[in-house]
Amino acid sequence: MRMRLGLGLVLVLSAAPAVAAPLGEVATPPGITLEPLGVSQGYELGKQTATFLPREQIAYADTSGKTLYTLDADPAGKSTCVDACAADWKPAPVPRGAKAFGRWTQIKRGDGTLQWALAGKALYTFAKDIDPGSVFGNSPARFGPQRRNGAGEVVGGRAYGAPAPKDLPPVPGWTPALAFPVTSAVLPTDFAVKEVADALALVLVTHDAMTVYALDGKKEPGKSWLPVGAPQLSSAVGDFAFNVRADGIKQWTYKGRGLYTYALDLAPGDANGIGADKVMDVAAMARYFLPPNVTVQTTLARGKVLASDKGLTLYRREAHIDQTGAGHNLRRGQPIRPAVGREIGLKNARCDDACRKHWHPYAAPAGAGAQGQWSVAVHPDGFRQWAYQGYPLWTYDGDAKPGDMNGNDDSMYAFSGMAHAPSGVAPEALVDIGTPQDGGIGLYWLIASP
Amino acid sequence: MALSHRCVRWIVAAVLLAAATPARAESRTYVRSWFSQAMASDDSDCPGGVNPPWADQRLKILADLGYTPQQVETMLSAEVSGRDRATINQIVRMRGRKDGQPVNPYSFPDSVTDPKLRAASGRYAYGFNLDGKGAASPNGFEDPETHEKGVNNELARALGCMREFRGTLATYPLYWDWTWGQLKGTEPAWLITVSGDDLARDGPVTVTIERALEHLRANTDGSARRDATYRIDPDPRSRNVFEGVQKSGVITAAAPAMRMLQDPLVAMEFRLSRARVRLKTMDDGTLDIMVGGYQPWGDIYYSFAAGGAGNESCSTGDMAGIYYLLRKLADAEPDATGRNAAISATYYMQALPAFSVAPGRPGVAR
Repeated sequence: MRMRLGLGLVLVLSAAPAVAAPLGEVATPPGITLEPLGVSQGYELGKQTATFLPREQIAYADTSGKTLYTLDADPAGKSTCVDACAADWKPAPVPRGAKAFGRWTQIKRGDGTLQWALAGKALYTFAKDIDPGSVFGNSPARFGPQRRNGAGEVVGGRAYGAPAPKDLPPVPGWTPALAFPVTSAVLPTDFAVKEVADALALVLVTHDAMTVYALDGKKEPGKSWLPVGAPQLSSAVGDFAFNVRADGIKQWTYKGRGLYTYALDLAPGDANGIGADKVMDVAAMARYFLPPNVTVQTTLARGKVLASDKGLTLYRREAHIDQTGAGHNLRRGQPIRPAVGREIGLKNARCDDACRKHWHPYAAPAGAGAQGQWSVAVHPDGFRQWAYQGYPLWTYDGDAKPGDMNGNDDSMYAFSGMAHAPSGVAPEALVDIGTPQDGGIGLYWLIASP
Repeated sequence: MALSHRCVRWIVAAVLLAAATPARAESRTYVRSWFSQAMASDDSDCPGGVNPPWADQRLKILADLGYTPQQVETMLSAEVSGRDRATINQIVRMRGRKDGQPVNPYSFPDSVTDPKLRAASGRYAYGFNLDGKGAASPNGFEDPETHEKGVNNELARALGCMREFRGTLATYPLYWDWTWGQLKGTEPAWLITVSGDDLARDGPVTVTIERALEHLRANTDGSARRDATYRIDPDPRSRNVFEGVQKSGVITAAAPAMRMLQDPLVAMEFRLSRARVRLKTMDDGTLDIMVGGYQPWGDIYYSFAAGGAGNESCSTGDMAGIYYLLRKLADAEPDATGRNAAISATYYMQALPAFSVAPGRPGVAR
């Protein structure tokens, strides 16, 4: 329940630290990535997924996007999967120089190599997982049009009305390591944890899915911040306690910080309070890795956008999807489809020399590697380009200042029998990158939303 | 409405005078509330009859592919009964042949033999004398409103005998009625601003067509809202300035080209070369607009083909047939192969009074 409560605090049951660190540690160390599972990879091309692609499960994965698992039988801090077991279940390696932190620790294996562990449990990949987003050998490519998966096997292409493919069963004793849904936190029933993309974090939300913010300090924030009320008969749960405000109403606290919603957040997923007040920040349970040379800027019409270190908008190359009647031009009107982003990659981006006069691959610094939702696309000449959720990222030289998006929707289509097609590209060259087999074929540039 | 148009006019005038750079003393902004191809279908423009409805055309396609009447009847019976709704659709949506393999006709329209759909051959079409030949233009129409002869509008000819595109300014063509329902929801609003020294008198005017950051504001019944305020999208790609004159309440203006971003998933862009506009203020304060020019026919085809089989069956009719009509009747801008890449076209817009502001710039809504 969100309610406007009286101002002022009379009793603080959980004292706030004098200088608080941001809530929520980085979700992934170097060498660990995040991959949505199942349909949220974007192979499926139905109208439903064209409009909104749910990210119901997000797995920890290795640098190639392979889902990570834990072995139930492993004791904390030790890997018991060796020899024959390790042939199918490969340890998740720790990149050179990567440091343990928070719930992420390192296990030294018998051969001297280091293996990542999460909350003490060693992490492994499964040999039968071919494509990113696979679980127990079931590739998400099976949801899409017929194609060859990473192992060269033909998958997908289920005819309308045909029965769903029979999935391989889970392997007993093994559990996918999921970043989302969050199961490690103890929450009062008033809260849930959701992915708030604009915050680049997994964040506490209220029962009506509105983003929750935490106060750093004791001074009451302005009237745009609405205290999150706690039931009068509530008691402390885990890191959650409460303040009793001047009017006697209880307000939830998390790790000693008063919790609020923001009046200018109008819909679930909004995080407009970020930056509105320096003592307020989202109540993050985990924060997504953001490369040091990437920033988040605000556009006039489409909300937050990933941007370069100079603040210039970053773009992804997108492929046509049959979204008839849906909201492409709305904020987040086009879902992120990691499988399509990877398939477009560099070669299928069709950015030739003329294109490169205006569009420039955004560089990943030397030494940068895959982490969180970020990976590095390497050009034939060795140039290293940042990719976000599978999509290589580009800047456009028609943008002059932060928030500009003057390259958004620059597009090209292709069909046969048209020598003057803007792309000069035959449809065969584009047809298999996320485009339906029975509709239009095109590529366009789209701002890279978080 | 907080400010009357007259009031705003004075405020704008004062601001412009203060700035000492009064490009135009008076501006009126409108927001597009309807968009369609300008059609003037009548009983005489398709002497051989209009093209078959899609329900019939798809059966003809089956016959052309070599299915016997008995086979067609069997498949149709299964479809009608609900036993098999997929087979005919699957055959039709993959009716093209490329290297002997079935391909879809939407991305590969020339993989299908030209079904030779009929084009219109009537006397009237809305539009402009784009080729400069006037009444001597070999394919010229007569504009039913201005009665100018030599009007170039081959798009109206190409689609004029397709049931889905037939209509008039008052009786909306089915396709465009459906399309506008999509466009108004999926692309930002279009703003039309008329500026002049005194819009109550004849004289030079500037017409600016640009995009808003917001979508069209609607009333609770879904109709477009009057007098709403929009922010102008600063993206320079969707800003078009036409120079012209007002005479007897009708504005005619021209620009070398017009470009408006649309929706890459429905219609990528609205592009015209040798663009013309004709605007007329109606008694209720709204605006009637004709906008014409040479449009890349690939843009038009893609806007149909993007929806693939769904569009073909629900809103456009035979897609390959349209492809061949557009290709054949294109009348400008030959490409390297000598084939014309653009087709003369005219669209009809209606617009309601509105206000606009430039984000980040001090001033008042105009």
